[in-house]
Parts: sequence; structure tokens; C-alpha cells
Amino acid sequence: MTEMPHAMSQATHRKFWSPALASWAARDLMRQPAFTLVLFVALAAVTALAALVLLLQQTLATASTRLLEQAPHVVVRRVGAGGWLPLDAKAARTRAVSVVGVLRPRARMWGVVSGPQGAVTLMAVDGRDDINLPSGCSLPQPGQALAGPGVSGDERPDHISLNGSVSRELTVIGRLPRSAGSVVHDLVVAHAEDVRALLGLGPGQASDLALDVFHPDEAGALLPELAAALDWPVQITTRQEQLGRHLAHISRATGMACLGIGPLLLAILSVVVAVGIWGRRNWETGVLRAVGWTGADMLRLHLYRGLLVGLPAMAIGTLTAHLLLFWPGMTWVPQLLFGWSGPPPGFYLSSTGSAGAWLLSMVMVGVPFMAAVFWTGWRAAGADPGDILEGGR
Amino acid sequence: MHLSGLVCHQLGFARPGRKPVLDMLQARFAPGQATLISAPTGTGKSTLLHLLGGLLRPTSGEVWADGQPVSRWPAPHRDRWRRQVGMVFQHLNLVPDLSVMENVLLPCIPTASSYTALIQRAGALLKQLDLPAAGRESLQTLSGGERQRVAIVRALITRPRFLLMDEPTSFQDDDGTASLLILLAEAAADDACVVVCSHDVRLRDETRLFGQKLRLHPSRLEPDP
Repeated sequence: MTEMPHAMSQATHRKFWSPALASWAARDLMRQPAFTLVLFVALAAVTALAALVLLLQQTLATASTRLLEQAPHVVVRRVGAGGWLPLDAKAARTRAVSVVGVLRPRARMWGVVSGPQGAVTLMAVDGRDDINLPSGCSLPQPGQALAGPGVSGDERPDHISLNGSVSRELTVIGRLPRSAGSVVHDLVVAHAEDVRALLGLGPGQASDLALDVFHPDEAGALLPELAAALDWPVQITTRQEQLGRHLAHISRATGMACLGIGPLLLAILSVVVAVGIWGRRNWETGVLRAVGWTGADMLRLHLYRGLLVGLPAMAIGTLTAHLLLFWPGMTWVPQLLFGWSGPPPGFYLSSTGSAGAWLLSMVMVGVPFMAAVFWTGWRAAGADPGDILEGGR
Repeated sequence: MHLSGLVCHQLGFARPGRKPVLDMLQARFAPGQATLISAPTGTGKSTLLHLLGGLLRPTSGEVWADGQPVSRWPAPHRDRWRRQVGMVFQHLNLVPDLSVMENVLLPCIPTASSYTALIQRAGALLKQLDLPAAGRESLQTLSGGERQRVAIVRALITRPRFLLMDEPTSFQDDDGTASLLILLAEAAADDACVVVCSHDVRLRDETRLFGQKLRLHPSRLEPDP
């Protein structure tokens, strides 16, 4: 009889990883190519959906936080029975600065008017404003504007027609860069004279008063004093309140998205069931057990097969979600989610948050999938080979 | 019970609600010896081999292997012990969509560190049984006799300590039977414990290989003259 390394002597102490068993698992998958492909695509799709929701939440939360970090510590608006009212800019500045702890009060002119494709945010600048303009852009003069990437004229892209208290046609002299964040997406920056006319503000009037305080964390303590210093009823909002409101809104939106995940969970369930069917080849399990495979070998075979399909599928799923949100020019997802008709704003990646979202999406899909694989393998491991061979044929 | 080889001690097996297939069976199958068990169809030959190979658990009595009560062991222990068993099934139990070589190598996959030596050995065994050594053929293209020889090679590939064969010559012509007998003699010479269940007269007439010939009755194994 030909000499060979004795198989039994090699088998005494084995690690989880066995190249021979792994290559057999790959071969085994190729025996059911259509099913393997369906499972791969289903897993990748489910992972992509989960990652898309999580990455979107993460990127919106990051954008809001970054945006509000640039915002004033406190915003004061004059209010009346019918809503907000213009305030006297000079008087408001003078009274606000009299409150100890208040710094840099700025009267702002801004509001929402009707633009070519829907509502746009209109903001005024003039030579006195401390504003960082993108390179190559100059301050708009009367009749001119800087526009965000989501704003363009119906017929001529460099001419936009705005309707507020009056109608004005403005010439776009520059574009606010997409890299400035989603805040500039539907923003129009115009000269104070045009903005005042469009918003219906009288001479010396402003939309609100923005101010900083000496101790931002204690801004709330100044509010009663600030309200008392002003002659009119006011609504005062701190940056912390705004941030909390934004994050709550995002959480609500994500919660709604999670409701949409119902089908996603069903899909996961389908995958799990499919895995169960996939592994249910009882007779062959009996043969393998009868020719010397142990229960642990069967379990390892199932785990290898699961890992060989699951890891690349989940990697491709998360990569797809990432590309759908962050790849330049990939626009249909935000268009679908937010209903933007123009070019959508770019989303920007925060490495730590995104890593968490990727990890969580892989866990959401990977854990039930591998649990199903383990369960199937466990059943195969525990089955009695004699019973299977006699009953399974 | 410190006897080497396989020992049946008051072995019995009955399916639920039926009368016993085997009852109070006493026998010993020594290493280095080939045993032929013959019996009419339906008397429990296959069941006996499944009990000896640890595929079924006896309902009474015990199977001892090299002094160990393997039939009493829990499943994980029996699984590991079963790696020492090579078995040819009456219905062959080959995996139809695999190639000849893949079927032959199946028992070795979990424990193999390299396929090279195994493929060499498989090729040599296939050649000895008049099959193409490369083993690339699909099982579905083979005749019944060729498939049976593939099953025999699969049982021998791990050089098992216990070699159990159920009707291994049922599809073989005289040449195939002669080749098999040579392989069985080599296995016995290698100190394997060889048990063959068959009612093939060519095996019953074989005088040199089988050191022990038994006839199976439900409650006893008696020498077959």
C-alpha cells in the first residue's frame, strides 16, 4: 500500500482556520452558483440600505453641528401676534450691548423668498459685513447676487427672479462653492438694498439680532436680562437650543427612516430563512459525518461558507452606500430623500462617525446572518449520521 | 474489556415499536485479520456494520474498539473516533455532482494540511482498481461497478484502522473482485481490522484472505463453514 502522511495523526490538535476546509467551502459554494449569487446580492443590498440610513443620519448630524458651531451664540427676534416683526437695528444693538456679558451684536437681514424652483434663503451683505467670500467672488452690488449650487434661473442660469414683498431679477455674479456645506445649497447672497426691498424691511430695520456672549455655556442665564433690556416682545434662541432642535429633527427623520426599515428587516429575515434552506442538505451532511467529518468540522464548513459570502457582500454593501451618498455626481439619493429639484448639496464624511455607521450596519446585517449560519451549522453538527443516511435519501 | 480490534458485547438493536434486528450478539474482529460475514438479505448486516462504525447507537449491549466502549461515548467523541473508520456502504453514498477525486478526498478535507500527498495516494488506489488516476470524471459518467470502486477508494484513502464494507463486490466482475481482495489483504497486513458483509459466493469461496468467516443470525454470529 502506498505510504502517505497518516490523516489521523494530523487531526489531533486543529485550529479554527484550515486552508483545506476553506478551499472546500469555496468549492462547495460554487456547486450552487445561482443560490450563492442571490444570497450575495441580497446581503449586499440589505447592508447597503442599512448603511445608507445610518450614514445619512451621521452626516446630517455632523453637518448640523458644524453649521451651528459657526452660528451666533444667541439670536434675538422681535415677535408680535402675527409672527416675527422687523426690529430697529440701531436701537437693538445699543440696548443689547448694555447687558453685561453680551459681545458683538449684529443686526442681520435675511429671510425666505420665492425663487425660480422654490423657496430660497436670502441673505444681505454690504461692505461693512465681516464675511469670508469664496475666492474669485466679489461683494454683490445692487442688482447682483451670489447663488448656491441649488439655485439657478429658469431660462438663463445667471439670472434669477426672486419674489417677496416685491419682485427682483438679480444677476448671478458668482457661485457659492458646494464645499461650503449644505447650508449654501439654496442660499442667495444679495446687496442689502435688494434684500430690504424683497423682505419688506424699512430703512434701518433688520430681521433679527445676532450676538455672542462671554460665556457661551451660560448664555441661558442672560436671557431674562436681555429680554428686559429690549423694548419689544422678543423670542431669544441660544445656539444650544438650536442644536438640540436640529438633532431632534434629524432623529425624528431617522426614526421615520427606521420605520421604512421594516421591509429591510423582512429582507434580513428572508436572507436568514434562505440561509436555513441553503444549509439544509441533510443527506450530504449524513455522508460527510459518516466518512469522518466531526460535528465541529460541519460547523466550521458552514461558518467558512457564511464568511466567504458574507464578508465580501457586506463590504460591497457598505461601499455602495458610501458611494451613493458621497461620490461626486451621485445625486439621485438626496434628490429622492429631500425632493431637491436642482443639483443636490454634497455630503461630507466624518471619519469617526462614518466608521461607526459602517460598523453598525455590518453588525445589523452580519450578526443575524452569521447567527443563521451558526444555527444551520449547529444542526448539521448535532445530527446523527446513521439516522440521516437511513431517513434522508 | 482490553481486547484490541472491534468487540460486540451482547449487542442489540431494535427500531421503536419493532422486533429487534440484532439481539445479544457476541463477536470479536481482530486487527490484522479480515472477517467475512454472510447472511441472507434483511438479516441486519448493514445495521451491524453501522453499529460497528459508530453510525448507529445500540439499543442494548456495547461496541468496544481497541478496549474503549465507543458506543457509549457521546456524539462528539464518537465523531472523532469515526475518523479511524473507513466504510463502504451498500448504497455507496457518493455525492453525485462531485468528481471522482473530490468524492475520494472527502474524508480527508477537515484534517488535510496538504492535498498533494493525498492526491498521489488517491491516484495510486484508483489505478489499482482500474480507474483513471486523475479522477477528473464526473460520477454521473461512471458505471455502477466503477462507482462502487470509487466508494472503496474513498474508504481506503485515510488508511483506516477499522475497514467496514457492505456488499463491496455486488457490482464487480471477477477482475474487480480480485483487485479488491488484494487491497483488503494489504489493509489487513497494515494491521487494519477488516469486516466485510456479503453474500457473494466469490468471497465465501476465498480461502486465503478471510481469517474468520461468520454467518449472521439475529441473535448470534456463528462460524460459517
